[in-house]
Amino acid sequence: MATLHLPAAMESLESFRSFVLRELGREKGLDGLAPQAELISEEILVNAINYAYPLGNGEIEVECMAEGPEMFRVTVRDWGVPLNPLDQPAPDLTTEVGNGRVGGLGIYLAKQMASRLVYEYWDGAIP
Amino acid sequence: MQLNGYKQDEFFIVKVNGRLDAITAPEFEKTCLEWIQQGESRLVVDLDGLQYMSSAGLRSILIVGKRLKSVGGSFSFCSLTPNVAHVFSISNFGSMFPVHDSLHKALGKA
Repeated sequence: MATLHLPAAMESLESFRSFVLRELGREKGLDGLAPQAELISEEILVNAINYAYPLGNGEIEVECMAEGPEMFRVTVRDWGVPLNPLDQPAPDLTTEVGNGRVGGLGIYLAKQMASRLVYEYWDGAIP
Repeated sequence: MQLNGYKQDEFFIVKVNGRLDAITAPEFEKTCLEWIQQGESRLVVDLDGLQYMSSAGLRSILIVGKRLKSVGGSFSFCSLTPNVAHVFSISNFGSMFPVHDSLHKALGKA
């Protein structure tokens, strides 16, 4: 299990991305998960960067761990306000450009790509 | 991300390579809106060299698409790589915008 702890800022995104892909690369046979791991991580991280600390600066920690032969777990932890992104309604992806409500697109993509997506709020921090 | 635009026939080709993510999407959006401001209204985005797209990229496409719609323009995509095609598919963008196998077809030369 490996962790990376950085400021909750867009400038940290590239370092988090490299970290997730490097940790995934250490696991035998999980290379094929790279596109999903990259996209899901970005969506969850951007959400945390944008919304976890509305009143100031904070930090985010990413933890990576293989879970069995075909599963890779990425945990994004912050110490900000409780906000479950999974509660967002699905975006309205109508076929008419300009009519749909597209908020929640990132979380929607993450839900589609992840085999499991869980939010927990625990004793002041998301465990 | 590398971004280039050039005129071909009545179309304006936007060639975007690399990654369209939360870091690069604002530049893609800003540059496309500048091209529209300069009078280009028939944009074809060649994604042959784009390896990755997240929701930030999709959002920038929607914003550019809305602007083009408001000026009566057209907006299409071609040569999607497998990862980008998957993102287009699950977000239904493949139904919102015309998608072609090749630039040749996007220009109506098939």
